Amino acid sequence: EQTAEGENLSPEMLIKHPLQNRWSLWFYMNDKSKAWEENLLEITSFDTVEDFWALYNHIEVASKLRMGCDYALFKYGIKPMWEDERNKKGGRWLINLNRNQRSSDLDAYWLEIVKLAPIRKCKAAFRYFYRKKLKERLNMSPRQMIGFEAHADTQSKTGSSAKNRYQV
Amino acid sequence: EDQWSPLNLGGKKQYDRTFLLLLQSQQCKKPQGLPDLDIIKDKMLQNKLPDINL
Repeated sequence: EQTAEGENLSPEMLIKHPLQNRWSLWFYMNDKSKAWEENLLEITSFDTVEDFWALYNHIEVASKLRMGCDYALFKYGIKPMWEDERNKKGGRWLINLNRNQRSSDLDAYWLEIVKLAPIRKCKAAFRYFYRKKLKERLNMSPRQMIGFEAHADTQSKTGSSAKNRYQV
Repeated sequence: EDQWSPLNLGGKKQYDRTFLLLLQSQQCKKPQGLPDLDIIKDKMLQNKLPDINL
């Protein structure tokens, strides 16, 4: 049933647009007095385009987070840690930005990456497609590198950084 | 075009960039139930994306 107010709006504007999955936004607080896991906070979850934007429009941009703080976006029900059963065989893509890019590009990169989340499945066949898409979407120069680290490697690393299994 | 809409509930849940950005500008109400943190703002931030030519 439409209200008098709603009659002028197209049906598109009355109903929120669903996403394929429900997602959770996590925030890592970096409070040194707390254990790593206690610093991890699930802010909220959403499963429509409108709810995503309402959230995004009311949180600090990634470039202005305090040192050591992080955002993480995961499918609802999966914890942002490699111990989670559904992450064990996964890995992470790493993009390093220089100081200038932090103010100019970081926020746009984060948002574009978030919007590509639905295809972030890191099955081998997907990797090539994903990194190509990502570089294209971020307008990155061919010289800029994106590395992929498998969690299994990172966990067992001995040096300061795990070996990149893939690099583009 | 087989995109989801209230009139095409079985359509694909994929939306183009222009449409997504249009929806962004309309979401000025703060979601309820968010934790009390300094990164969470009461007022809408206008974080416009730079134009990227695709």
